[in-house]
Amino acid sequence: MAQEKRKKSAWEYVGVWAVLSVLTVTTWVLGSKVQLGPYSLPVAMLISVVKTVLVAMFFMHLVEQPGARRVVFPVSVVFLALLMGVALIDAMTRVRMARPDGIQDELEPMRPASTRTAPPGSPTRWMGN
Amino acid sequence: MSTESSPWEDHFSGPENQSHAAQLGMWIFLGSEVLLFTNLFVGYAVYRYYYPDVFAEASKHLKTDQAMVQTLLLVTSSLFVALAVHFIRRGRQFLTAAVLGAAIVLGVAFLAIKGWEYYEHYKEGLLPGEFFHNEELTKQGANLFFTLYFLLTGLHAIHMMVALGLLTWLVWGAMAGTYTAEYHIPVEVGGLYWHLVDVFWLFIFPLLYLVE
Repeated sequence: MAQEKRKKSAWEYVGVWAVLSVLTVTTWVLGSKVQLGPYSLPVAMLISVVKTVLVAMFFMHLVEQPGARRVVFPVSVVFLALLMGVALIDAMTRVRMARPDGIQDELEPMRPASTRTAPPGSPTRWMGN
Repeated sequence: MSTESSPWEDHFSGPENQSHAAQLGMWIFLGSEVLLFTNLFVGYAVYRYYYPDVFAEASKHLKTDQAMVQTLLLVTSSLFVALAVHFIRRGRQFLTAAVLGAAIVLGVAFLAIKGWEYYEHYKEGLLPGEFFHNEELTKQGANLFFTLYFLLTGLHAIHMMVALGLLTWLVWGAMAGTYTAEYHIPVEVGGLYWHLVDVFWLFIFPLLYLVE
């Protein structure tokens, strides 16, 4: 193939592998020893995305692919983001419904108070006031 | 140029086109695999939003250290599969078979650890649904965490088994001399599948094992 005229050394792959291993151990140390609290999920996801980009670009040779083949995988990620984003927006913005007879208790969702939608106007509510 | 034994098909009008078509087809299949796992990841995200504390507590019952070892095993096996493609592009058939064999050994080790984990969960009463009877995890949501855990890791393990069968077939082909520096489409395409299974684990590991 035309792209192979530039000779690649096997050591490039070993280098990528070394970075992946270091990132794996970093995730583990941060997640089980350091405990970043609220930052743990974004940091862990960021590291996973970096690892995925490395695997896709170099191990899966996405970096040397032309045209349509380069587009398919990113498009599937876009659809993943759409599905997850809209589903989460739905879960995060569900409003407390009102009943004409004024009985509130039965409308309370059976889940921890931390995840219930605050009533409109309250200071902790960040959306839909 | 197509004879009975040649892997090149006439209707592609050239080896270049045949290789492009095979790889594009594989990428589209991988895209559909991403969407398959997306369903489980979305379910996970929504229920983790509903039960953040319960998920963190339930996650402590998983074997985090062993999962880190599993991640390293998969990442290393991915290196070997990438090297297999590297070697077959240079026509080194025996080296290709050797590194693919190494990848298979690491993959089997991964599944062995997974099986041991499942057995430990079974002893702790962490199987999902009506079989869930752990004494420490009584809050609503813990059962859901383990349902998602078994679905995600189980679907991943099934993919691992399929990919291991694929690699075994590639080793056999490489030893038989089917693949050469000119024709090695199955090695390239099979390698892509292995790497994708690795990528899924890269997300499953922090999401299930490192919940805070």
